[in-house]
Amino acid sequence: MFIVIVRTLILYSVVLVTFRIMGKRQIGELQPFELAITIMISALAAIPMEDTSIPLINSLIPIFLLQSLQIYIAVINTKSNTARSIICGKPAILIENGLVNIIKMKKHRINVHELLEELRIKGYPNIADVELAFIETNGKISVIPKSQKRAVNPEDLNINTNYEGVPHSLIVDGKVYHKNLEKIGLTSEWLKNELSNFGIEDLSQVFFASIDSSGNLFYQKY
Amino acid sequence: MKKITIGVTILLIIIFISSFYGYSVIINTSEEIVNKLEAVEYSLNKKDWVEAQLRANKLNKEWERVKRIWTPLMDHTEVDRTDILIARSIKLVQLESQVKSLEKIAAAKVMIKNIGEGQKPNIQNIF
Repeated sequence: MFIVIVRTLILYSVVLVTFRIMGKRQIGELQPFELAITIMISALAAIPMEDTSIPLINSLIPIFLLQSLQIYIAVINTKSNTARSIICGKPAILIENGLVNIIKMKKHRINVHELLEELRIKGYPNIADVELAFIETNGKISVIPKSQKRAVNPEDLNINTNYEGVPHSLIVDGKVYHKNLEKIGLTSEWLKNELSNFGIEDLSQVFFASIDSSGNLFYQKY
Repeated sequence: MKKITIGVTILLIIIFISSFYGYSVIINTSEEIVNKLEAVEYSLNKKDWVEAQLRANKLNKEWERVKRIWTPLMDHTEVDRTDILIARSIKLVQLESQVKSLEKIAAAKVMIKNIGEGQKPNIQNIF
């Protein structure tokens, strides 16, 4: 049993270190330690599924252990910036003041075509329009355009806007969400009255209904 | 966050304690089985068939108990192989075949000793 624990600790560290060495390119969206956990837990769970000669405890203990380690690592990451930079790495600047940082590009094994592709996906086909571009710790590229090239927002035009909250779902799949109605100070009678104005007598006929912060009711029948 | 950390720490302590308990149970029970096998071996060397069969029955009872403990803790194929070896040894003792039963008992002893050795947390076993 101790072998399983020691092996789990060693394998966890090995996978973690391997993915840190592999760099951000291989990671995609997950943090390195999250990816390590995901791969190991899925393998630990899958193997005993097909091989019944392996006692379940030999797979459950490493899974619990990995889960505990994952929580510890997450807690350490929130408490210590140094630990976070060691475990998750640091974001790197690929474009600064419109200039590509070739050294960082080489370090993270990203070529110009890949960078241009990411910029196009983000809506910036011209590299000269980009003020800053980062490769984040989860491998994603985030782009900050030059102030002259970013989208205009109401503040730029000195336009006052009203508060916009999240629309509340009132009916989903024919079922009334009483909690949401209570939350915004409305009742199911009010909803019935409102929908009867549109010729709907039975609320179960409604597939979806929601209300936005301005009080506009949206509905869709089956 | 604090509650989760405390919960995880308790879980880890439980895992370590239960693992250590499981390890000590396997070591102790494997030693008991080896002792029982040696007792049968001793009787066989003396060609005392009555005593050998009596000890073989005791071995059989002890093995049935140990098997129930081992199965959830160990590779089932290892337990099955040991089970077959012990069953053969007991049958050969009942058939009063000295050479063959000594051979099977020696094999069973090696197998059980290896199981105990394989559980020890040392460098060879980890790698």
